[in-house]
Amino acid sequence: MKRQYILLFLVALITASVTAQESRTQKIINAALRGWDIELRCGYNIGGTSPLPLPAEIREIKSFSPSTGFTAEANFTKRITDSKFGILFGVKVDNKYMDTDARVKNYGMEIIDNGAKAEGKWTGGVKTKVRNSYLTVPIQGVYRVHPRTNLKLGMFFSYLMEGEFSGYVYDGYLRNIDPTGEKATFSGDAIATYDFSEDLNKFQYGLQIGADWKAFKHLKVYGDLSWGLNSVFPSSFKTITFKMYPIYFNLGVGYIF
Amino acid sequence: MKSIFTTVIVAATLSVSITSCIADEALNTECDILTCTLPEGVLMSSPTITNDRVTLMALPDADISKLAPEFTITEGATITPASGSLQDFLNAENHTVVYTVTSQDGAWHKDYRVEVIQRETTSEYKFNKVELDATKKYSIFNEADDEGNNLMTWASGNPGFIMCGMADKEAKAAYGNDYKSHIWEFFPTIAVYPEGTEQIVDEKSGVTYFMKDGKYAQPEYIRLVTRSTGAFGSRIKMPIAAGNIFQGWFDLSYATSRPREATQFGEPFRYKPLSLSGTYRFTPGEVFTDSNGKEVPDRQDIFSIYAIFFKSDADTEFIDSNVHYNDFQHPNMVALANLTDCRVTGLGDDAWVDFKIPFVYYDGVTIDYEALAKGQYKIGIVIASSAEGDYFRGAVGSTLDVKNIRIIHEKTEE
Repeated sequence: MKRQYILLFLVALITASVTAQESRTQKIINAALRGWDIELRCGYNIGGTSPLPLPAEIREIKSFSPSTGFTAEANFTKRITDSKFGILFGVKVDNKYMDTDARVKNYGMEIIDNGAKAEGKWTGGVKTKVRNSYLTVPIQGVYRVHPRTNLKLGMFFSYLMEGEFSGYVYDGYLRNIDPTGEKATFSGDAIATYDFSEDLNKFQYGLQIGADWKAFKHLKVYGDLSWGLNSVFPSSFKTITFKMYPIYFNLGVGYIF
Repeated sequence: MKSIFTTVIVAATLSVSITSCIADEALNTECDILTCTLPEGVLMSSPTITNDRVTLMALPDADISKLAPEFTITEGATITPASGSLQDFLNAENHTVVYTVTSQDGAWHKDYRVEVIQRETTSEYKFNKVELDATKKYSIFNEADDEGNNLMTWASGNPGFIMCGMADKEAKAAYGNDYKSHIWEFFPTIAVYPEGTEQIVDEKSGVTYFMKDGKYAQPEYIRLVTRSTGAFGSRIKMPIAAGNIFQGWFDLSYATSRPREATQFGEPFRYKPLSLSGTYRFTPGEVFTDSNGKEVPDRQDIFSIYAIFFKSDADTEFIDSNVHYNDFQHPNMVALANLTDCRVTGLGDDAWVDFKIPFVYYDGVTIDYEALAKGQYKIGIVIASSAEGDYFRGAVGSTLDVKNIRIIHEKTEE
């Protein structure tokens, strides 16, 4: 599903660049889109879904990988006549991925399934895998600081098309309910898996700030920082006691018509 | 131009470095007794430490009026009375001194009952002093003499079952809002009491006991039920919990990684056992499942009852349930009583079956009577509602009721 979207955008990008060779077509498009810039983008999300600041329960991040979260985007910028300002709207397939391996101490967890509640404090290793695919709409103000360079600031709104937030705990111990509870040790191959994919928030919004630079007539490189302002989990979700925000840096290239 | 890129890169680095910024470590919240030591010549076997109890089996000639147990506790925690302070266990009520361990952050504490047992080994098992654990959820079975003094404490897998939260769920479904005093009924190892039995909190110790007419209630029988461990259990690949009760201790630290080693068998026994007898009735659960929780068609669950007798030494203080699958072969084994004729009887009032199985002594072993008198030989009666429950193979609902458990030994024969 996700891959299909990405492929679709890639094909669109290539087709666009081929057709753009024909200057006649180019002129027609230019005429039709007077005052609009259209850009197709392809990029890569680097970042994480993390509590901010890190709570004291997290003692060590043993490994972190943003994994391969590709993005594909089409955006439209309306230039305000005789001004350096413009407004950008976009549609983006936005894959926010992450793999982490952390060591935690006294980390509150609660697994509720079908009415049975397993609740306790975990000390030990936690591996987390995030594979969230959003359909994102960025809305930004654009300011041209230089004929080849734009700065952008605005918001993004995301809808979760497909999400995974899963992992397992290993090499540590669980205390039932609180630190005085029965202590069950997990060592060797013993793990407890978790999967909170179904609990993820469907909507996500936040701030987005970015810049781009026109390297060639039709080619741009860009960078966008998107900072989630609501947690990836709803406040009714108690298993993870802190809010987790998606913070990703999106780097890539764009084709402008 | 360049500066714009620099800004962007700085922003990116910043966002990553924020996530790698580790806060100061909080103070420890745990308050455990980790070890307990006494000078040589005092104890028959190593202390048994559970989440809130320490049991010390003293040698018959040890002076328990002047004991100074030394404890190691969670880092940063404090203990009162102090570790190494002299205590009179002989004249303490129930030969028990309560130690309070307070966590490093001061927010949590646990009261440990440190109890010395220095009495004649029992061989008739009545399960006649049953208490609830500190969270008032599961049963702990003690054997008591006529004065109510503890003779031994049975071990069960109940402390592990508490983790999955299933008993709370079942109790809520059955009793609604008033469920809390019924949670124990939904654990794998429980007792069935005569009518009029109540849960009474002992004012001094704060322990909840099952009482009837002002005395510790004598259960009618012990009931072992194989139960589902729900979503949590299947996540840790332990889809069922068989009801079990055994002599020894349940090592929860092994329960998830090496479950066969969690059940540690062995209670000092100072006589040569001849036979194991008792009464049971059994009905299997409907669907037999394997260790992945998958149904095994056409397989019926069956229970197990056996007793091992072995000589302990520095390396082998206990024998774990792997012995069951090694055909009861272990270098320290001396004798075995194993019920091989396990029958499905149903749970009717007249379904009870008596059994008496002899201890079969291993070829070439002789009893060292001096060591026997010192409590170096140990016995382990092991009863489970699903024979392969320690491999998580069995049928949810399998129910084994047992009573009149007794070891006949050389002295009882005389």
